[in-house]
Amino acid sequence: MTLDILLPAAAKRRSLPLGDRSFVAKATIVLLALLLLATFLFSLTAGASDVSPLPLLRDLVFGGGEVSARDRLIIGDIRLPRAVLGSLVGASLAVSGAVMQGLFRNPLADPGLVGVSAGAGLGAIIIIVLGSGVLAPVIAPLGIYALPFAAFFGGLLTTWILYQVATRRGQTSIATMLLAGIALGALAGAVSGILVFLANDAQLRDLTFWGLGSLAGATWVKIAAAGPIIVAALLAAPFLARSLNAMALGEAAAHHLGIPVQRMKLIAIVTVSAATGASVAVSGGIGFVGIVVPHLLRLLIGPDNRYLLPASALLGAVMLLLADAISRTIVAPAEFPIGIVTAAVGAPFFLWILLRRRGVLDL
Amino acid sequence: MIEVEELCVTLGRREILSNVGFTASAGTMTVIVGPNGSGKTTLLRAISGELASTGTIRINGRDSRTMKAFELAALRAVLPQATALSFPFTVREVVGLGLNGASAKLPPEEVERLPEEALRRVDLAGFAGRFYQELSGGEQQRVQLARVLCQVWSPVTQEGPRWLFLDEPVSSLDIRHQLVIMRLAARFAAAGGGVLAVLHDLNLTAMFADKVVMMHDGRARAIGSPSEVLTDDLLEDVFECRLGVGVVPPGPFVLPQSATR
Ligand SMILES: Nc1ncnc2c1ncn2[C@@H]1O[C@H](COP(=O)(O)OP(=O)(O)OP(=O)(O)O)[C@@H](O)[C@H]1O
Ligand SMILES: [Mg+2]
Repeated sequence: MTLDILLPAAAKRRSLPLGDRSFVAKATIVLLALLLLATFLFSLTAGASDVSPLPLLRDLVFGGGEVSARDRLIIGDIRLPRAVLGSLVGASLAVSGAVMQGLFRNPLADPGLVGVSAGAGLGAIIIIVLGSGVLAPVIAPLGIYALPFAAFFGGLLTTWILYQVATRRGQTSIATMLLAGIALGALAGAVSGILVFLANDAQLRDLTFWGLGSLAGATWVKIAAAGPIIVAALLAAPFLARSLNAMALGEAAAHHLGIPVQRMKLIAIVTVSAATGASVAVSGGIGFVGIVVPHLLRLLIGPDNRYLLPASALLGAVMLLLADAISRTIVAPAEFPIGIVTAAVGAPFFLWILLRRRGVLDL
Repeated sequence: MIEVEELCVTLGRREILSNVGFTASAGTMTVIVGPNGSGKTTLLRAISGELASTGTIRINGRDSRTMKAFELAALRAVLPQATALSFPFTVREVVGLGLNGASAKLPPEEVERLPEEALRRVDLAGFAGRFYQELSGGEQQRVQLARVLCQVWSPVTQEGPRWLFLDEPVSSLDIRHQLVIMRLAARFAAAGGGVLAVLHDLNLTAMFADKVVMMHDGRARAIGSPSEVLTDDLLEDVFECRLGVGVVPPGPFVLPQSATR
């Protein structure tokens, strides 16, 4: 019965049309969803204090006292928010990457590449360094929301400037936007550098840890601040899928196919900057998820964004939860910044994509 | 019916089209000819709503500039002179993009059948599973044509005739496939749809066009039936090359008209 729902009509007839990968894609999405569930549960159990998964599951589902009060505290207040935040951030990074790649028609495009992450980072750094000094009166009322909001607006501002620079008479030039993004990213980096230079020792430690990317500070409050933005962006992304598919043929052809190209680009840009800004605010610079995840999935299920976007969200969440588990266990009881884990895996992968791009098929 | 009046297009600081006017009727094939850079592609892009322009463009009586992208897409499909494709789509997926807007309204069996049927019509049956990037130039061109066909599958709907805008649809095809594609377009017109095509091949133009628009330096230099437009004097004037229309040149030659199959 359940299988009937899962299997599309085409598969039941046992003859999949030639070149139609939608069945593989749907099956992959189902598998990834199960994988995410398992990874999520695993990440609740992994760490300095060992809690085995089965008692935990029984405890979560049926209640009862199999898990000690201390462990329950660790899971409820530390690991659960961390796993939730990790899933949200992972999904958001991967989907941002996939949307941006579709928009730029380039498999190497990524919010990190066009300066959106750098802009969001600058916003966060301003708060960390100047928050207790010059800006104190302004941000005091915002409390702990100051950081996420600053990063979000930093990302949005960068994207907005990017859009203004790259858009003439309603036409956005992707090439100009990429180049402008590199320049803006460098500029944001330079200003960030000046602020880092001004920072005191305590701020510097904060900055370093944040800049390397970490989920260590995950709290329900952070989730409340960044979660809604991320969820909204994740829900908006699938509506862009058909438009992004058409964009693979170029802007003109997308217009011919009935896509309102300019409006769609604007929506895509706002979606990406919202998701990226919110993610950077709560987790710092976690790189390469946005490039690695969609690329792997494209090899597996093809570039159709109707399937690529949900699959990216799921695999992005899985990858980040695994990277976080590694970062927590590899030097336990100390922690390793997760950004280093993703970069150590992602950067070689990025180079591998560049090398393979010399072929025909590996876009 | 497509009505174009006093159409002007300026790109950068140059006026590329000046005061172009012509009409194209549904049920016929209208062919735009002219030398390189004379404005054929620009004309087609302006009519398809891709370029800003001044003057009048009416499709089936409606001002095309007031129409939304999806309304235009339901009425006309465009084969550009060149198409680049990013990401490794299969041939079937590329052709399926033509159904993009319509697939929500079509029954699932149709969504599955139409791409294969379109591929068969452009003589690419069995290519659906191949990667687009792994095809030859001519095969890619035919895949794009199949995609365009899918977009306006039935030549006539309640909203009136639909249109095929084809910019050099046979430019990289062998002679057999040139005929396959031109006959396909002619059949679309015979079934009530309209075809507006840019061609460089004057023989094919003479053979298939109901009406010829000859472009020269951004103006419509001559408009009429093939025999009215393809004359020695006009050709010499426009292409700057003395050509004898209907005169057999020395040496071997192959006439597409000689095909019997
Ligand atoms: N984006 C642009 N900006 C400025 N000028 C342009 C642009 N695109 C085309 N042109 C110019 O407009 C003129 C007409 O170009 P168009 O592409 O319409 O020619 P065409 O008749 O289609 O030629 P071909 O037979 O080579 O396809 C050319 O002189 C060309 O240089
Ligand atoms: Mg041209």
